[in-house]
Amino acid sequence: MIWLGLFSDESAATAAQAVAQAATSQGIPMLAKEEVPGGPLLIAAYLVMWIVVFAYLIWMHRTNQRLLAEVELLEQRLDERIAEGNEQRKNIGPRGT
Amino acid sequence: MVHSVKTKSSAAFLLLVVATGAVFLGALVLTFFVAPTERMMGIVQKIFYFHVPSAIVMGVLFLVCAVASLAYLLKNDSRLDAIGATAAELAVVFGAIALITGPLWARKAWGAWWTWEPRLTLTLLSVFIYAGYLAMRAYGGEKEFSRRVAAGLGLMGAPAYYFIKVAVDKWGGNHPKNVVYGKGEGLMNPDMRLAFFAGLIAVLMLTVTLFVMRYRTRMLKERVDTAISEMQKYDLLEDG
Amino acid sequence: MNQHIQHFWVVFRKDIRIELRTREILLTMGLFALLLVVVFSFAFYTDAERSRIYAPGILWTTVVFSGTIGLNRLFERENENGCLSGVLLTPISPRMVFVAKAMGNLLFTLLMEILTVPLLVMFFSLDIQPVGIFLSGLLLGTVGFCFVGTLFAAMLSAARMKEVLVPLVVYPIIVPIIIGGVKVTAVVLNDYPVEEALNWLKLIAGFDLLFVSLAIWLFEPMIAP
Repeated sequence: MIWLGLFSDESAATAAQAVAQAATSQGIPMLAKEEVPGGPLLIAAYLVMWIVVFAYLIWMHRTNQRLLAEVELLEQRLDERIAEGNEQRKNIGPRGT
Repeated sequence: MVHSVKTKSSAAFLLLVVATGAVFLGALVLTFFVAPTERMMGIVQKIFYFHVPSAIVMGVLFLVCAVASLAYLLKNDSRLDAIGATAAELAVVFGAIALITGPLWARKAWGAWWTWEPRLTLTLLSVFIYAGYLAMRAYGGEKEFSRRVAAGLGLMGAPAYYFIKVAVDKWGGNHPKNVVYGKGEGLMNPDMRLAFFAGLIAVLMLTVTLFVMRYRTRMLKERVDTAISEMQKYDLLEDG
Repeated sequence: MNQHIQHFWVVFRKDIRIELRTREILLTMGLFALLLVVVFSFAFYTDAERSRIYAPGILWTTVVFSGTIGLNRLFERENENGCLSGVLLTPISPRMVFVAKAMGNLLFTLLMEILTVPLLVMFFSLDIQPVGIFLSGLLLGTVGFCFVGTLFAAMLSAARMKEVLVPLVVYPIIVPIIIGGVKVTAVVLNDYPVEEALNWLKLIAGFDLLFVSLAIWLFEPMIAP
């Protein structure tokens, strides 16, 4: 949403050019354009995006695994309780005498 | 009954995943083969087609989080809390993407990794707010309580976002921002515009996919936690 | 309404009375602020000319950092022996408890500033011109900081990590106050045009208006459903 201003108001190109000029006039050190290769930066940016997304997915997967372990524990305990209940019922007998 | 509902919803989810992948592929094709390479900045400008959508998605998620937080404080429904928390989490994810790809672009376009450009500053500060939201939930003490506290923060986040925006815009003063906000004609090239919208839709769909996945996990965890605490109440989890 | 003021007064006076007996908040906060000013002097002071550029930032950093100490302390006291539940069980509305607490914090922070500002003026040989604008900036900024800060300090008073969590959560929200406060201070120290300071004061006042009411409203739904 914040970026819509950029999108509707001005082309990214002229904006960046103007920013670069402003930055130089502000005394921010500027590097020669030729010095910076664009390609690797672009690839790095795409890599970063997918690394972040996949890191999030892996983290989510780990949460799921923990959840699964908890569910398994629950099932196990439930089975034990059922077995115990059956045992008691057998001992007491069908009419509870 | 339950089973059939599940199958239907997971089929819908599968469709969503496939569609997201397809749209992403289409956006990539448009970005690299249709949209022309930008004259001034060269190929690096193509970061724009997912850097800006990430920032937009982040803003939308802040709003979602604020609304869900307000509703949670009023209605006390754990589903609303799950929506708010998921939104905050994804806002941090996409905020991080915008914040890392921004400097990579800026290095080439502006010649410096970081400038205190108002929108970059705003993004950074809002990510801080929502990282605080997540830290609050993780370390804020008792679960129910820390959720309410985080919801308060989530609600405050939206007006804070607005005030920070006003403040950093003013703070920028004679900073680059004047030029960026200056009057112009927008993305002039229609192919560029197309690639941008494709990128926006692709990132939005990715967000929705991740949101659905995370939200479901959260609700599942909620149910398991309830089951565990129920069983603990009747001493059913102890051995023997 | 009258009853509310009475309730407010009860809680407010209680905190003041405890503070007057123990003096722990004012003492720790004041000493810490003093120390910060000294450390900053070592770090930044070169000459009177350049100190005018650094002083606004130093002043606000000192205020915010020392203020945070006070925020955490005021509710920690209530947390001992479950006093907060006791206070909340009284017929006093939770909102009034919060307002009283926030006003207490405001009072302590202002007292700390009364100690810090003259010292800064002395150490950095500053010349504040017009004083009125400077003071209103300081007051407005402190009000917003104290209300937002008290809200989260109250909520986190029981949390193990509160010393980290409170600043982590509060600082990003009050960024507009910090930026505005620094700008207003810069105007009065450097004889910049007054209109600029007035603009920033308006921004801080707007922030205060919204966030003070939001904090007061939020306190009740945040502590219990």
